[in-house]
Amino acid sequence: MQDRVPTYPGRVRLTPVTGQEGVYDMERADEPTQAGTPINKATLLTDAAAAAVEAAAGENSPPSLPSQALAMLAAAISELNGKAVQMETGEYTGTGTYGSANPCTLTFSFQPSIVIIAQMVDTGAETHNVPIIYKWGDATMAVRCERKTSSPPYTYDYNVNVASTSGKTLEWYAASGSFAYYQANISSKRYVYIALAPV
Amino acid sequence: MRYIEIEALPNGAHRNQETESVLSLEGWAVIPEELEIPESFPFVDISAESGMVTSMSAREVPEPEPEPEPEGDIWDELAEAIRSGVNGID
Repeated sequence: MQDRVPTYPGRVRLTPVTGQEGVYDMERADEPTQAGTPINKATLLTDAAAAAVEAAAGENSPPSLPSQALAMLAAAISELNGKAVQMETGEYTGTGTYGSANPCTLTFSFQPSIVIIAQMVDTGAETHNVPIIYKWGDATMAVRCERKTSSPPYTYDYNVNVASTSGKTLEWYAASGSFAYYQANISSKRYVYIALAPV
Repeated sequence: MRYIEIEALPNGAHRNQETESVLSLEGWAVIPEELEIPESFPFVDISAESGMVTSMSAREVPEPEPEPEPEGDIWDELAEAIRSGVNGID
Protein backbone atom coordinates (compact mmCIF):
# COMPACT_ATOMS: atom_id res chain seq x y z
CA MET A 1 0.00 0.00 0.00
CA GLN A 2 1.05 3.59 -0.56
CA ASP A 3 0.56 6.63 1.67
CA ARG A 4 -1.07 9.75 0.29
CA VAL A 5 1.51 12.53 -0.09
CA PRO A 6 -0.31 15.91 0.11
CA THR A 7 1.16 19.25 -0.82
CA TYR A 8 -1.23 20.93 1.66
CA PRO A 9 -1.99 18.38 4.39
CA GLY A 10 -5.63 18.44 5.55
CA ARG A 11 -6.78 21.16 3.13
CA VAL A 12 -10.36 20.78 1.86
CA ARG A 13 -12.70 22.83 -0.36
CA LEU A 14 -16.25 23.56 0.96
CA THR A 15 -18.97 24.38 -1.55
CA PRO A 16 -22.38 25.57 -0.24
CA VAL A 17 -25.29 23.35 -1.27
CA THR A 18 -27.83 25.49 -3.02
CA GLY A 19 -31.02 25.94 -1.04
CA GLN A 20 -29.72 24.23 2.11
CA GLU A 21 -28.36 26.73 4.53
CA GLY A 22 -25.36 25.61 6.54
CA VAL A 23 -24.83 22.51 4.35
CA TYR A 24 -21.65 22.12 2.27
CA ASP A 25 -20.10 19.62 -0.12
CA MET A 26 -16.55 18.87 0.90
CA GLU A 27 -13.70 17.70 -1.32
CA ARG A 28 -10.01 17.30 -0.69
CA ALA A 29 -7.90 20.21 -1.84
CA ASP A 30 -4.53 18.99 -0.57
CA GLU A 31 -3.08 18.68 -4.10
CA PRO A 32 -1.30 15.34 -3.52
CA THR A 33 1.87 14.44 -5.36
CA GLN A 34 0.91 10.79 -4.75
CA ALA A 35 -2.75 9.82 -4.41
CA GLY A 36 -2.00 6.81 -2.18
CA THR A 37 -3.90 3.55 -1.90
CA PRO A 38 -7.56 3.98 -1.04
CA ILE A 39 -8.86 2.42 2.18
CA ASN A 40 -11.83 0.33 1.11
CA LYS A 41 -13.09 -3.24 0.80
CA ALA A 42 -10.93 -3.97 -2.22
CA THR A 43 -7.74 -3.12 -0.36
CA LEU A 44 -8.59 -4.43 3.11
CA LEU A 45 -10.66 -7.58 2.75
CA THR A 46 -12.00 -8.77 -0.59
CA ASP A 47 -14.62 -11.49 -0.81
CA ALA A 48 -11.98 -13.84 -2.23
CA ALA A 49 -9.59 -13.16 0.66
CA ALA A 50 -12.39 -13.62 3.19
CA ALA A 51 -13.33 -16.95 1.58
CA ALA A 52 -9.69 -18.07 1.65
CA VAL A 53 -9.40 -17.24 5.34
CA GLU A 54 -12.67 -19.07 6.03
CA ALA A 55 -11.34 -22.19 4.29
CA ALA A 56 -7.85 -22.03 5.81
CA ALA A 57 -9.19 -21.53 9.31
CA GLY A 58 -11.89 -24.18 8.94
CA GLU A 59 -14.66 -21.71 9.78
CA ASN A 60 -18.29 -21.92 8.65
CA SER A 61 -18.63 -18.32 7.55
CA PRO A 62 -16.22 -15.78 6.12
CA PRO A 63 -14.89 -12.94 8.27
CA SER A 64 -16.67 -9.66 7.68
CA LEU A 65 -13.91 -7.44 9.04
CA PRO A 66 -10.11 -7.51 8.69
CA SER A 67 -9.82 -7.84 12.47
CA GLN A 68 -12.01 -10.97 12.36
CA ALA A 69 -9.87 -12.40 9.56
CA LEU A 70 -6.69 -11.85 11.57
CA ALA A 71 -8.26 -13.45 14.66
CA MET A 72 -9.31 -16.50 12.62
CA LEU A 73 -5.80 -16.88 11.18
CA ALA A 74 -4.14 -16.44 14.58
CA ALA A 75 -6.35 -19.17 16.05
CA ALA A 76 -5.58 -21.48 13.14
CA ILE A 77 -1.82 -20.94 13.48
CA SER A 78 -2.01 -21.54 17.21
CA GLU A 79 -3.68 -24.90 16.60
CA LEU A 80 -0.82 -25.88 14.29
CA ASN A 81 1.76 -25.73 17.09
CA GLY A 82 3.33 -29.14 17.41
CA LYS A 83 1.44 -30.47 14.40
CA ALA A 84 3.29 -28.70 11.62
CA VAL A 85 6.97 -29.06 10.84
CA GLN A 86 9.54 -26.79 9.32
CA MET A 87 11.91 -28.44 6.95
CA GLU A 88 15.18 -27.60 5.30
CA THR A 89 17.06 -29.55 2.70
CA GLY A 90 20.51 -29.29 1.22
CA GLU A 91 23.65 -31.14 0.34
CA TYR A 92 27.42 -31.20 0.72
CA THR A 93 30.28 -32.81 -1.13
CA GLY A 94 32.61 -35.01 0.90
CA THR A 95 36.14 -33.77 1.47
CA GLY A 96 37.73 -37.11 2.39
CA THR A 97 38.93 -35.83 5.76
CA TYR A 98 38.07 -37.02 9.24
CA GLY A 99 39.06 -36.63 12.87
CA SER A 100 38.45 -33.96 15.51
CA ALA A 101 40.65 -31.48 13.66
CA ASN A 102 38.56 -31.84 10.50
CA PRO A 103 34.92 -32.17 11.53
CA CYS A 104 32.05 -32.05 9.07
CA THR A 105 29.70 -29.15 9.58
CA LEU A 106 26.17 -28.24 8.55
CA THR A 107 24.41 -25.00 9.46
CA PHE A 108 20.64 -24.60 9.40
CA SER A 109 18.32 -21.61 9.48
CA PHE A 110 16.60 -23.08 12.55
CA GLN A 111 17.51 -25.57 15.26
CA PRO A 112 16.36 -28.96 13.97
CA SER A 113 15.02 -31.81 16.08
CA ILE A 114 16.02 -34.48 13.59
CA VAL A 115 18.62 -34.45 10.83
CA ILE A 116 18.76 -37.16 8.18
CA ILE A 117 21.90 -37.42 6.06
CA ALA A 118 22.13 -39.75 3.09
CA GLN A 119 24.86 -40.38 0.55
CA MET A 120 23.74 -40.26 -3.07
CA VAL A 121 24.55 -43.81 -4.09
CA ASP A 122 27.37 -44.06 -6.58
CA THR A 123 27.07 -47.15 -8.76
CA GLY A 124 30.83 -47.35 -9.13
CA ALA A 125 31.62 -47.24 -5.44
CA GLU A 126 32.31 -50.34 -3.46
CA THR A 127 31.49 -48.92 -0.07
CA HIS A 128 28.91 -46.28 0.73
CA ASN A 129 27.20 -44.74 3.73
CA VAL A 130 23.62 -45.75 4.44
CA PRO A 131 21.27 -42.97 5.61
CA ILE A 132 22.03 -41.53 9.03
CA ILE A 133 19.39 -40.29 11.43
CA TYR A 134 20.60 -37.89 14.10
CA LYS A 135 18.48 -36.67 17.01
CA TRP A 136 19.53 -33.17 17.99
CA GLY A 137 21.34 -33.09 21.32
CA ASP A 138 22.70 -36.64 21.23
CA ALA A 139 26.43 -36.87 21.91
CA THR A 140 27.01 -39.36 19.14
CA MET A 141 25.66 -40.18 15.72
CA ALA A 142 25.52 -43.75 14.42
CA VAL A 143 27.06 -44.11 10.98
CA ARG A 144 26.82 -47.28 8.95
CA CYS A 145 28.89 -48.14 5.90
CA GLU A 146 27.96 -50.95 3.54
CA ARG A 147 30.39 -52.83 1.35
CA LYS A 148 28.27 -54.15 -1.45
CA THR A 149 30.80 -56.49 -3.06
CA SER A 150 30.70 -58.72 0.01
CA SER A 151 27.93 -61.28 0.01
CA PRO A 152 25.85 -60.61 2.00
CA PRO A 153 26.89 -56.94 1.95
CA TYR A 154 29.26 -56.32 4.83
CA THR A 155 28.26 -53.49 7.14
CA TYR A 156 30.33 -51.39 9.51
CA ASP A 157 28.70 -49.46 12.33
CA TYR A 158 30.50 -46.59 13.91
CA ASN A 159 29.55 -44.10 16.60
CA VAL A 160 30.65 -40.66 15.50
CA ASN A 161 31.27 -37.90 18.03
CA VAL A 162 29.11 -34.81 17.74
CA ALA A 163 31.31 -31.83 18.47
CA SER A 164 28.71 -29.14 18.74
CA THR A 165 24.96 -28.93 18.82
CA SER A 166 24.75 -25.34 19.97
CA GLY A 167 22.67 -22.91 18.02
CA LYS A 168 21.95 -24.05 14.51
CA THR A 169 25.23 -25.73 13.55
CA LEU A 170 25.93 -29.44 13.67
CA GLU A 171 29.53 -30.66 13.71
CA TRP A 172 30.59 -34.27 13.80
CA TYR A 173 33.81 -36.22 13.49
CA ALA A 174 35.07 -39.78 13.54
CA ALA A 175 37.94 -40.63 15.84
CA SER A 176 41.45 -40.26 14.51
CA GLY A 177 42.85 -43.39 12.96
CA SER A 178 39.54 -44.35 11.38
CA PHE A 179 38.24 -43.49 7.92
CA ALA A 180 36.42 -40.67 6.13
CA TYR A 181 33.78 -43.33 5.45
CA TYR A 182 32.99 -43.37 9.16
CA GLN A 183 32.49 -39.60 9.10
CA ALA A 184 30.06 -39.67 6.17
CA ASN A 185 32.60 -37.64 4.27
CA ILE A 186 33.87 -39.80 1.42
CA SER A 187 35.98 -37.75 -0.94
CA SER A 188 34.00 -36.07 -3.75
CA LYS A 189 30.77 -37.96 -2.93
CA ARG A 190 27.46 -36.10 -2.67
CA TYR A 191 25.48 -36.22 0.54
CA VAL A 192 21.99 -34.81 0.86
CA TYR A 193 20.29 -33.88 4.10
CA ILE A 194 16.92 -32.98 5.47
CA ALA A 195 16.43 -31.17 8.78
CA LEU A 196 13.09 -31.20 10.58
CA ALA A 197 11.65 -29.39 13.60
CA PRO A 198 8.16 -28.70 14.94
CA VAL A 199 6.81 -25.22 14.19
CA MET B 1 22.81 -21.04 -2.45
CA ARG B 2 26.15 -22.78 -2.40
CA TYR B 3 28.60 -21.96 0.37
CA ILE B 4 32.28 -22.86 0.67
CA GLU B 5 34.74 -22.48 3.52
CA ILE B 6 37.44 -20.08 2.43
CA GLU B 7 40.28 -21.89 4.18
CA ALA B 8 41.18 -25.24 2.66
CA LEU B 9 41.51 -28.48 4.64
CA PRO B 10 44.96 -30.12 4.87
CA ASN B 11 44.23 -32.25 1.78
CA GLY B 12 43.25 -29.22 -0.31
CA ALA B 13 39.47 -29.75 -0.15
CA HIS B 14 37.05 -27.14 1.13
CA ARG B 15 34.10 -27.84 3.37
CA ASN B 16 30.93 -26.85 1.57
CA GLN B 17 27.15 -26.75 1.85
CA GLU B 18 24.31 -26.05 -0.54
CA THR B 19 20.85 -25.11 0.68
CA GLU B 20 17.89 -22.97 -0.26
CA SER B 21 18.24 -21.07 3.02
CA VAL B 22 20.22 -17.89 3.45
CA LEU B 23 22.96 -18.56 6.01
CA SER B 24 25.53 -16.39 7.70
CA LEU B 25 28.69 -18.47 8.00
CA GLU B 26 31.82 -16.89 9.40
CA GLY B 27 34.87 -17.76 7.32
CA TRP B 28 32.74 -19.03 4.44
CA ALA B 29 31.78 -17.40 1.15
CA VAL B 30 28.90 -17.69 -1.29
CA ILE B 31 29.61 -19.23 -4.69
CA PRO B 32 27.80 -17.12 -7.30
CA GLU B 33 25.51 -19.13 -9.56
CA GLU B 34 27.29 -17.96 -12.68
CA LEU B 35 30.66 -19.24 -11.47
CA GLU B 36 31.67 -22.49 -13.12
CA ILE B 37 32.36 -25.29 -10.63
CA PRO B 38 35.37 -27.45 -11.62
CA GLU B 39 34.91 -31.22 -11.69
CA SER B 40 37.53 -31.52 -8.97
CA PHE B 41 35.22 -29.77 -6.48
CA PRO B 42 35.65 -29.58 -3.48
CA PHE B 43 39.36 -29.80 -4.36
CA VAL B 44 39.70 -26.27 -5.69
CA ASP B 45 41.67 -23.08 -5.27
CA ILE B 46 39.47 -20.10 -4.57
CA SER B 47 39.65 -16.36 -4.10
CA ALA B 48 36.96 -14.56 -2.15
CA GLU B 49 36.08 -10.97 -1.49
CA SER B 50 33.41 -9.55 0.82
CA GLY B 51 31.87 -12.98 1.39
CA MET B 52 31.64 -13.86 -2.31
CA VAL B 53 33.85 -16.25 -4.26
CA THR B 54 35.45 -14.30 -7.08
CA SER B 55 37.38 -17.11 -8.74
CA MET B 56 37.63 -20.88 -8.53
CA SER B 57 40.05 -23.21 -10.26
CA ALA B 58 40.60 -26.95 -10.21
CA ARG B 59 43.38 -28.54 -8.24
CA GLU B 60 44.67 -32.07 -8.10
CA VAL B 61 42.38 -34.56 -6.43
CA PRO B 62 44.34 -36.78 -4.05
CA GLU B 63 44.14 -40.55 -4.29
CA PRO B 64 40.95 -41.88 -2.68
CA GLU B 65 41.39 -42.88 0.92
CA PRO B 66 41.60 -46.64 1.53
CA GLU B 67 38.33 -48.36 2.23
CA PRO B 68 37.85 -50.01 5.60
CA GLU B 69 38.45 -53.74 5.35
CA PRO B 70 36.05 -56.22 6.95
CA GLU B 71 37.44 -57.47 10.21
CA GLY B 72 37.85 -61.22 10.55
CA ASP B 73 34.67 -62.84 11.82
CA ILE B 74 35.48 -65.50 14.39
CA TRP B 75 32.25 -67.41 13.64
CA ASP B 76 33.05 -67.57 9.94
CA GLU B 77 36.50 -68.87 10.81
CA LEU B 78 35.06 -71.48 13.18
CA ALA B 79 32.58 -72.65 10.55
CA GLU B 80 35.34 -72.97 7.99
CA ALA B 81 37.52 -74.91 10.45
CA ILE B 82 34.68 -77.35 11.21
CA ARG B 83 33.99 -77.82 7.47
CA SER B 84 37.66 -78.60 6.91
CA GLY B 85 37.64 -81.23 9.66
CA VAL B 86 39.57 -79.40 12.37
CA ASN B 87 38.41 -80.72 15.75
CA GLY B 88 41.21 -79.63 18.00
CA ILE B 89 43.89 -77.02 18.58
CA ASP B 90 47.49 -78.05 19.14
